Amino acid sequence: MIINLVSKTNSWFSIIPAIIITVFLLLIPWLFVFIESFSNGISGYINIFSDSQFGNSLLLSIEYTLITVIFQILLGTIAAVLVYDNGINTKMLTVALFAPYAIPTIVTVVSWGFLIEDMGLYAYFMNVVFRIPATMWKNELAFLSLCILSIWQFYPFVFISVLAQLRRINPNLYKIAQIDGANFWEQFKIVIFPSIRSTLFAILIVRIAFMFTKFDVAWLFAGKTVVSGVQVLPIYVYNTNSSIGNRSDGAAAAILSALFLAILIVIVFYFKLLLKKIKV
Amino acid sequence: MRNKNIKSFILIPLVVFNLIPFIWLCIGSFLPNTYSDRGISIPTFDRLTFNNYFELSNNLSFFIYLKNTIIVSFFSSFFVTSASTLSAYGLTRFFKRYISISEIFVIFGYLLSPIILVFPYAVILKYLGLMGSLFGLILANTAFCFPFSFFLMLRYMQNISEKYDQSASMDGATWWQTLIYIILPRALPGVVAVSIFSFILAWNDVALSKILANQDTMTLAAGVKEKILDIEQTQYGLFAAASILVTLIAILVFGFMQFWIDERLKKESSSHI
Repeated sequence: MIINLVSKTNSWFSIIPAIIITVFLLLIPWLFVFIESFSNGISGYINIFSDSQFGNSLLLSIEYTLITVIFQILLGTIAAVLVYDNGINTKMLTVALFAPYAIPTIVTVVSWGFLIEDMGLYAYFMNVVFRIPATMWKNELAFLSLCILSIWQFYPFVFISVLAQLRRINPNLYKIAQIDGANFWEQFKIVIFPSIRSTLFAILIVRIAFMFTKFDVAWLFAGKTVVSGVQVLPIYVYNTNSSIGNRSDGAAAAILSALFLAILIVIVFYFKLLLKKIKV
Repeated sequence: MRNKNIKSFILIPLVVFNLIPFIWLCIGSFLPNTYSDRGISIPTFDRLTFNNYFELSNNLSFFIYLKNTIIVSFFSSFFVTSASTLSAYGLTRFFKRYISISEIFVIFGYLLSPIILVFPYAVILKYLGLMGSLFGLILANTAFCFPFSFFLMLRYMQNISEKYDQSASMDGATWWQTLIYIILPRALPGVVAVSIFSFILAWNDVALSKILANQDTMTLAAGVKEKILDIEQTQYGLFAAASILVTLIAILVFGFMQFWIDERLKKESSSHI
């Protein structure tokens, strides 16, 4: 017992790195921002919420988040179920399906830029088949292009998470369902869906939080002139904050604090549901 | 059997949809750099060229960005891995009752995107006089990657039995000797996962580098966008070549890490027997 006590002296040294990072790199910066947001009373918040661009960006961000998350989850789940229940070489298939997520964002965005520019493969194809003018994909249809690009890049995350969960299903359960003559839809309803339900829920929350605050894809996609069609909230935040210091009304800090609180609400919601589930 | 065929038929378009952009990019990197040469016209052999890659190797700023990216990714990965391993060990062994509260904190940190975190970082880096320096960028990347890495390490450390700690301290080992000689070899897969995760995040980062770095300390993603994509005449061929190189280097680094770790694991397991 004495040896045990001696060996644990100065054990608090071990958590110093965590405390330093949390306090100096996460807490104090936030405190600064929060205080600055009230530097002119609540006028910073009033200025933000009365800015029509803020409203537009917020709406666009909500649209963007809903569309991309729904299709990511659909596509990712379908791909995972198909790969799980397939006889062909799964390893190569998994790599191919996971590739867009693993490759740097700058590369994925640029490679899509190649495809939808006016002589690009996709733009050309759509022009020939559906008579959509090839120049529209980066102008009037920029938001649609951004959504398709985002779905393509992030559905592999859903795919790999769901596949990992599927591999934990007892294979016998699946075989029994097949022997009993359950068709594909019945197998999905009875065996697959119940086992991935909680994973899907966790993915849903994480994806909503990620897509709502996704900056790099939209920013790299927009290029030097941000098309108004892709000015999602993070880009608005960036534009407001690049002038930090120039604006003394605390608007830049106010928008950050507001976003911070929004994420906080998502987390509280997440934990409430999580706790409920554990009780049930 | 018929059922399986139908499934493969659905998967083939998905795989094609996934890979077309990369194939298109590869072809683009071997085509002349002018705009009129782009597009759907079939790339005949006489038009193929290595010029983009040669031009890139003459492009000095590309190598400065590459060097910056390697330095930032390596050091932030190192800091994140050591800090999260040490702290996760300490928390799971000596401060157990704080585990659940710190889990809430780490999930919160995980869900905050760099664009929300970067402006507070800018405030603190300006205050410390580190704005625009590589070290400042490393610190920001460390803070950004830390929460999730810490979360992963907590899980690994919780799964390592405390019987090891007890027997080590019976033999008179201090806690840090226990950590280095007993726990670390057993937590190696977790350490590797965390180091790769934080390396990838720093390697791909755009927002932190764009806002916290200056012209000389920018990393690849932000620098390439500024120097090649945003100038008057976008140099697609050059960009394609740069993208291919960035991807290849990343793959090589991960491959090398994976190889090194596999070797280490084999050695570890044989030495335990």
